[in-house]
Amino acid sequence: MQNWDLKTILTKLDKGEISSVELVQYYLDRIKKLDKKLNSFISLRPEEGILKEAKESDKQRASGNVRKLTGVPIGLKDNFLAEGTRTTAASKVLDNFIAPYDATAVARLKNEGAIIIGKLNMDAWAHGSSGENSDYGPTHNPWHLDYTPGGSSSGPATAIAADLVPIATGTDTGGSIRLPAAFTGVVGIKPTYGRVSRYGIVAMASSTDSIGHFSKTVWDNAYILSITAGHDKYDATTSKVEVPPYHELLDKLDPRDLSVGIVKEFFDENIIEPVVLAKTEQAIKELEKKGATIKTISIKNIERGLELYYILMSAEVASNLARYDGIRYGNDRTYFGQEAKRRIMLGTYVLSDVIPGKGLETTYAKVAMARGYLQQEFKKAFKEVDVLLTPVSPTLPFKLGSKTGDPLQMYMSDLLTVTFSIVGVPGLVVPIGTATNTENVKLPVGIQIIGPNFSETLLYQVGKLLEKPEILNEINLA
Amino acid sequence: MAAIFDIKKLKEKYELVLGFEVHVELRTKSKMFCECPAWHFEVEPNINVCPVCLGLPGALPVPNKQALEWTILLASALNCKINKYQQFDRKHYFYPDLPKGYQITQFYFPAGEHGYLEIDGQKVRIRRVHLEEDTGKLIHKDGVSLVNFNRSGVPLIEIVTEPDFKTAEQAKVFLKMLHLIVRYLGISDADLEKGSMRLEPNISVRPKGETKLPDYKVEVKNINSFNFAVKAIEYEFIRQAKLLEQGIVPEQETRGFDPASGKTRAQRRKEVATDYRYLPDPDIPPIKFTEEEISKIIAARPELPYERLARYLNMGIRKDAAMFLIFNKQIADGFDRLIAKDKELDANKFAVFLSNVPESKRTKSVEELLAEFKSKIQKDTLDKPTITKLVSEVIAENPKAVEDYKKGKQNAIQFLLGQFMRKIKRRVEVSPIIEELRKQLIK
Repeated sequence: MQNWDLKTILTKLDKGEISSVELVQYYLDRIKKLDKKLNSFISLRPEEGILKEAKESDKQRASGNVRKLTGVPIGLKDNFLAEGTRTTAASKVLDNFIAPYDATAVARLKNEGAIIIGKLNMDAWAHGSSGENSDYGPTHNPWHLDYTPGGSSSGPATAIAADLVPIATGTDTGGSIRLPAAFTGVVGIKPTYGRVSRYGIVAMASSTDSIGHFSKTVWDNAYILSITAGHDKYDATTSKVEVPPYHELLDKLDPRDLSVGIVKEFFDENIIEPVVLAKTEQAIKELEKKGATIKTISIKNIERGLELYYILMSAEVASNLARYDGIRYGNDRTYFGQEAKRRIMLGTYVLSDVIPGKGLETTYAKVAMARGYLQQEFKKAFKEVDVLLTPVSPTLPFKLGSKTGDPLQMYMSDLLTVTFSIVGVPGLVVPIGTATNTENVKLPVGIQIIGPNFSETLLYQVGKLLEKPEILNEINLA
Repeated sequence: MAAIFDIKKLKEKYELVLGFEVHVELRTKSKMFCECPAWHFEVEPNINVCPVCLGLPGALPVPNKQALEWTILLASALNCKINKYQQFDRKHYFYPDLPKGYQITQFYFPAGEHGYLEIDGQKVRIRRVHLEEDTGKLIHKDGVSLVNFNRSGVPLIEIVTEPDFKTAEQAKVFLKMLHLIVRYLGISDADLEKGSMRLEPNISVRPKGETKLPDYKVEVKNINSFNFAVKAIEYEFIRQAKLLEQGIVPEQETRGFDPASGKTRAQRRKEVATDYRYLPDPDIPPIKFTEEEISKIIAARPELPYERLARYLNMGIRKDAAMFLIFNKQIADGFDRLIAKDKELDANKFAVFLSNVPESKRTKSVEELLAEFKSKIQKDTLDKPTITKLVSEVIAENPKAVEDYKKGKQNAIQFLLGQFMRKIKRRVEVSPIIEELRKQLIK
């Protein structure tokens, strides 16, 4: 069963070649065997419950009652509320919080028959780029245990790469799906803001929080998004734009009709590590060979995204964490970690310049205006090209502990992802190969595909042309 | 040693600077941002709650359309400029009855601004009318504090006036009219005792002649009747004037009114806008109304009490009777129905009659009251032959007065009228009698 993707699993379940019970047992065994090293799960659901659901799924399948995910195990990032599961968001503040309701995305997955295996590790409150801010210990990169799998969705990315679950959910506020996807060699989507409901997911920065998924392949990812995406009456920011069957449209793109933009500002050798740059350029060349038009473009002020993001995000974080006031939820505010405290202080400072009658003169309002300006710049860019291709991270995965002492250096890891978050556009990361670092460690490299709002179909189509899912076979966890 | 003050002198030297914040809880079916029932009186604690109004992790607010429309309705009734672009903002503060750590309100773009309400020919300026959510309710008993979240998230309109009131009594007239408007619109029970309408005076005091606003203000809470509002304001005026007299600027704070003693007590230091760290709520997209949508909402507005008052006064109804009617909407509705049906009916007399109906009889239907009114009128009107007969008797019996009248003493007629009344020993319609007297006196 090793490294089966979801499409393979669905086919085998359909044909009766495997049962859901066998499938679930395979993953549970692997988790038992490997997760002590990887630390990708914070909580596992009780095994009996999981197996009971798997048996029930097999029965349903036998009786012809087959839904889109009947009997398929999934993992949830621990900021997803799923009724009856412990949901900590990797913070000890919520150490004993049992979710009393299902997030909309979770409900939609459950409705299609998915079986929740457990809750996956992350940076506490989704604050971080390495998984090291988890109050439950860092997750280790399955490519090399000394390395970070990226954050904040460290657990979900690792669980996919290490074959502990076939599908995992994640959240991306400034890069929290895309960076770990790249660092572990899996596929990760940050959909358009408002494409997937945020209801029932512990909020980080509400205006950029995007709900997405990890998988081994583009097809798997497209299939899952077609389930979770769509308007939700419990989230006023979700869109009513129709959800296409993404996975059925993957081959509908002729590369010769595609024009790809290379953002000059993000291909700077002073910012990007040479091996990453080389690998990215190689992938672009391959796409060009297939007939795509490649165009170098410039997006004005794109590099300012990082500062705008850290102002907006910290303001919203400070506000969203206000409810953990020590009166409810088990543990009080002394349980907040360093990073959460840092962001609460930054955000509180940002929001402290409100002057009555001067609505548009606050820092937050100015940054919101700059954000609108950047959105206009992106609209212009997407008149010139269909998609943008950029590296995901300026560097290859770095060693655990190498940046924890320098928050600013850690924030810089998000340089190539945050701008797209504040603009709200979707981004897909797919693995394009491996590279060897200076210490002779082989690590994966991903590429980021960015398109205009609600262009997920196109992103998946381009991703299909670029993905190299077979690199996961190079992981050796023995 | 407490200084002794001459209250009369304080009143001569200082003047009141008084504005109001009035909160009105809406009686929508569901809460402001979730599907829970908004009704929270006589309900078992913490029953009408859900992840949203409990502020659970992951919960998101979705605004109630009805509440938005009702806010526009009230703002228009208060002659406000209605904002087509509205937005919800987060107002941050920590309190155990506020589960999210912030209250969702309209800070930057309120539903309505720059309005006024005319009271006895004087305009009270309305600074803003905005929509927000109510908090939970704290109950302190037996040494523990309990929170009831049934009220958390109930839609709440806040009306803020400019400091335009000169006296507490003037404020009371305004508040009663505002209360009436809310009741006419049918958007709230506006029950002061239950707290579905809350009056919070903002009081400061300055020397007479000073035009600058004082740089402090005291907000008073826990006022559950119009009369208590008057008491609290009068108490505060004296308290603050006494401090000023000693050269002390009163503390900017929130005080609670104690109905038993008629005094106010300090509750907490009042925060300033910066402390609230207002943030446009990223969970709620801005709401944009079109001109047509707003017109449609306002067009559906029922007749307002002040509009009704103007109509009655135009009809020639006495002001006190007209006021009685607008404050007794059910009776006024019946009144309108009946005068529309019966064109012969003397609207003013009927209105005056209604306003004199004792409280105990006001449960009667307006139709019943009309019947009473008519029979009373009948009793009060003497028939023509009786008048003619009695008038000739009076003239025959009072030659002196008749003589005087003929000499030009107009008030002799009053004397003769008095004589007439003595004969019948009850009050009746006088104009036909005077008419008959004049007629016969000319002979």
